Amino acid sequence: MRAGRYLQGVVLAILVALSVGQPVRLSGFRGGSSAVPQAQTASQGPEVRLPLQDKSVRFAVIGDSGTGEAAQFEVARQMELYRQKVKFDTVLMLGDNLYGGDSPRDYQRKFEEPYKALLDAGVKFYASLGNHDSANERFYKPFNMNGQRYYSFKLGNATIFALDSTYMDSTQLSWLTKQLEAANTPWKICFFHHPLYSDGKFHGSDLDLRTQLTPVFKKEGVGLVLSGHEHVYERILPKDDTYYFVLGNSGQLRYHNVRSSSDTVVAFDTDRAFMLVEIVNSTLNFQVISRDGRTVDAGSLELLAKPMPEPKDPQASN
Amino acid sequence: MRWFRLICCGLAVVSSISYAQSTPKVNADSLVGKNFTDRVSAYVALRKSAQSKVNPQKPTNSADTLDSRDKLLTQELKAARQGAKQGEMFTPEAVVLFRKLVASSFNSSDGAKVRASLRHAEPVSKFALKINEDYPSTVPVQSMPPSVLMNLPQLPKEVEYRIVGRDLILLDVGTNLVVDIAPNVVPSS
Repeated sequence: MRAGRYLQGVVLAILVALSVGQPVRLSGFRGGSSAVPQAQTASQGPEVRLPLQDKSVRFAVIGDSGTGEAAQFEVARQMELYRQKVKFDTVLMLGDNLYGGDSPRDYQRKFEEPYKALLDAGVKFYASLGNHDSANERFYKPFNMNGQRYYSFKLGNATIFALDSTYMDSTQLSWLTKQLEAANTPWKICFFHHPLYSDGKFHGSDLDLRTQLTPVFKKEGVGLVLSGHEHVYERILPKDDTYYFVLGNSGQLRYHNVRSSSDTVVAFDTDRAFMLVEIVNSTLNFQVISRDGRTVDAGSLELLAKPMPEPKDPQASN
Repeated sequence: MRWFRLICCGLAVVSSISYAQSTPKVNADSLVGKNFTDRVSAYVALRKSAQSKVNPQKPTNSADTLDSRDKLLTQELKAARQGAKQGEMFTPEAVVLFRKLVASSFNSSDGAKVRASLRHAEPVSKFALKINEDYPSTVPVQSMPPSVLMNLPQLPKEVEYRIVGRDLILLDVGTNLVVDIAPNVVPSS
């Protein structure tokens, strides 16, 4: 009875916090899975919290997935269950796609086998490189990197940029700036391994990378940034009109590893997870699902970012 | 008239001496940097020659094909550089230059961020590496702080810089062979 009341109180507190935009640390609930706010249990099957509108852009996101362990397979099973309802045909991989080596057995055990159902259904995976990945992964066709360490592709009204955050040199940075300038879609989405903002205790934010990338993101109107590396899930308060997510727990997990700050909107560090995204015009709908099928975060975000106008040339008016 | 000629000649000599003294000295660092990039270019030429003997890496569905191409190129490169020694790219003068360049990133106004980035990027402790041998595939690579990278001589895409402990290593991209090691390049604190 007392526990039930406590639970009610906790859920209420979370709902209030969510409504006022205060940080919520789901990881704090050590009482077990029942304490996580959700509308369904795993036995009820996938409960999709996306609008599923015609002609919308849909994709899934995984990060730090390539362990080859049971938890990765369980996340993959949930992804397939949700795919059958959501019909996403694209998966973004946020790096650390293969831990511990890149032998043929590693590709099988840590990618081909866990995601077999998705691959058989024709889902395309797009990988970025993490610090545990070999640069040779870029030649592995199912990762769709086409031999490049960084690349971009178009998906409906979004242009998606895969970056190599382990080696952000001037060549890559100028490539990114030019490609972002040339992208004419409203949504510009970047994904890469190292997070610019994170409240993870193990790594935290990559400050030097942030110094280099955020001015470009701001100038070119990048609306969404997805990263991994920290083995947790985090939704961060928007920075300069860009939404930041960390999802590094699709295979790995660093239990209770988030130290929430005023930047944390939602954090989840007690189990593995993957993310679903559906873009409908200027609205990005997302749902984050745990290994056992529970929704740990969901919502709708309006596109805030816009490319900054070019400064007027004072000579031009003369 | 004779005196006038003598004075003119004297002025010309003095002005040419003072011109020579005011001409900027050739920057010693840029010579060392040029020597380093020349050595790297020679390595890349050698690599291309080794590459020409095997099937180049290109996108494939087969992890086995990826693996066998990688092994063949590694074998060719190892043979081509048999007996390679530390210092063939990072000469003693280049090591001094790289220490200076890395230190300038660490001592810049963004130095604290660079240090934080290094600490947060899963630092790799120093372990035994050998020239012309594999960087172990089980050890993650340390991501390079962009501010440091942008301060170093630019490399062709076949090779990259990586930090291991306090050493800067030159790594062959793809085969993961250690091309050279510059010791104690990263400041200790």
